[in-house]
Amino acid sequence: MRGLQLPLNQTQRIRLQRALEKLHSLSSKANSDASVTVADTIPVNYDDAFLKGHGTTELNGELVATVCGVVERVNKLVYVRALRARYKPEVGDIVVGRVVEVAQKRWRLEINFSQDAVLMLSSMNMPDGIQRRRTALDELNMRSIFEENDVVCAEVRNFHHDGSVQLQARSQKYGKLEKGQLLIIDPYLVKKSKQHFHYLEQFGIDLILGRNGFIWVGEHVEARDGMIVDQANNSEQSTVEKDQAYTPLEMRQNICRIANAVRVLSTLGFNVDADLIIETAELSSSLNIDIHDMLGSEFHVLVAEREAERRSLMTKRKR
Amino acid sequence: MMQVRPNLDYEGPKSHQHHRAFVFGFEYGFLKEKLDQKEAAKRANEQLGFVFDIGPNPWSKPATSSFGCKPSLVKMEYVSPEGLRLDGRRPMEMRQIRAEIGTVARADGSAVFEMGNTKVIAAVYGPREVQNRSQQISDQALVRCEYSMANFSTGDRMRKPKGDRRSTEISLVIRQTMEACILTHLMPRSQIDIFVQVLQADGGTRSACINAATLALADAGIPMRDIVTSCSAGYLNSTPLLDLNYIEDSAGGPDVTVGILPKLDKVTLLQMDAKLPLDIFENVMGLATEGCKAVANYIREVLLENTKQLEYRRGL
Repeated sequence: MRGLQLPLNQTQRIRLQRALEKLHSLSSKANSDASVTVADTIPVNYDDAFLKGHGTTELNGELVATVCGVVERVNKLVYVRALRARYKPEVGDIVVGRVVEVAQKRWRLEINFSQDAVLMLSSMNMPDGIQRRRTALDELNMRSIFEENDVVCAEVRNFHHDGSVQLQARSQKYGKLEKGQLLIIDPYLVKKSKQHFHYLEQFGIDLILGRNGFIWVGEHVEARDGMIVDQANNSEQSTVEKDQAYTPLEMRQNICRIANAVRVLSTLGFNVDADLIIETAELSSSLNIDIHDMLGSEFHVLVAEREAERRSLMTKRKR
Repeated sequence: MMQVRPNLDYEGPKSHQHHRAFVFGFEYGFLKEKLDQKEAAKRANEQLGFVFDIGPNPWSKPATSSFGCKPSLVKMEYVSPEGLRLDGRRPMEMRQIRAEIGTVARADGSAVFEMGNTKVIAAVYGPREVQNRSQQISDQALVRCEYSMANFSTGDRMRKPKGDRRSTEISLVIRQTMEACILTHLMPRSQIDIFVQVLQADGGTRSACINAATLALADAGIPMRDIVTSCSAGYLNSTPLLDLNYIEDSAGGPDVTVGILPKLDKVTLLQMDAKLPLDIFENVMGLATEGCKAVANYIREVLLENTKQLEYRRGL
């Protein structure tokens, strides 16, 4: 089974199998013939006009898939949604990336795309919050904003003609991420939603679900959302922040618990969203499961069973 | 009185009397003159460390034993008169194949492919930013491939330097074969790395590597024209044999490795380092192509199963 290399005992194996079978029976797409592999012919009505989308090609008058995935049809457009591919950026997506290089007036970020993304100095807010032209001095001080290997949150701005991606970070909610963990999961597990920034109040944690499969779990930072912050106040705060450079133990444990919940969900191949992550973390704490035991086989089986139950309830409610 | 004979359903190759039994890796022509043939056979067997009973052969239809024929025709028997090969397969039988997807956690795509005792692991990284800027191609992806053999993959533990001639050649072969099927123009200015490593070598590593690489590329979601599958076939004891194992491979006979695109019905790889008459070659290649198609069917099954699993687990 893909990605699941757990030491399961006999009962655990049977329970997991049963849960997965239940998930399989509940899924509408998997039971239909929508799944295709490379070089499979996609059935289309050739009398009607159709448009070839991503993941398809024409061969001897037939429409043929070029990737493994699920066939999707939108009006005339027929395309194959690839599972487990690298991230394909769309304008407006919120992504988390890692700085690879500091170059002329720009940073290069690794965002799990086929090329590195570009974050221009001009397309981000200065830390002091003033809108002005970027001077040569700012260019020299770029490393004071982001250095190599920093984790940065940004938004996809546009594409260049050569296919490279430009990012922007024009709000206080974007920027450098500190005091937390970066998790890298398959991008197809993160669904597009209205809200990708989550503040989990009960844990005191910020959760950022990057559309590129980079997930940030970190200590909650105040005043990130405030667009206009008094400059003096801000600088004062930053000095205070520097003084408490350490994170309390409880906070670290919370971060680890949430991070492990994400890890469990992604190894099981379940969609990762904020509700499910909170539910999983709460399940672990209610059962008094230690943080390091969350990655053990027993908890994986439990989460799988729980998910099967949840989905069956959801489908019942729909009917 | 009726003669009791073992029941042989399979007639075996027509000329099986000629190469029934007894191994001389090379000709013992020089002995023929001095010693009688029986003596020569005994001596040769001792030298090669084989213990054979050189009695009269009860199964050969004519009264003459296998030693009735010239010693130059006496060779290693790779196909028994019953029509079985050394590992018990029929000449047109493949070894058991098994594939597993997603074996390397941090790779974009990965697979393990087994053909009998040959076991190969492949990992694909990319499409990703080109590491060496000067190699960047502005309108297509750069495909790189690295083949290596684990030290423990062969019977005797070999310590070969990385990048010897054989590995370099196979890396090139795999790269060219995979490049032919990847739609590189869809991923400009990026690079795709394919790493294949042989974990257990028992003949046919080249084919196994190509099959593993195909699976890994499909797993990584890299668009391809078609899947590439590969299989080898050989010709020993005047019989075409499918999917040679190590012993058959090291017999020194012809070994034809074929790689095909099954849907497009095209050949992307054809290698042979021996001579074969054209009509026999066509037979052997046809056999290898059939093998490729069988592998293709299996690979598609595995991929479809994997896709379905990913989809239903994700839900909605």
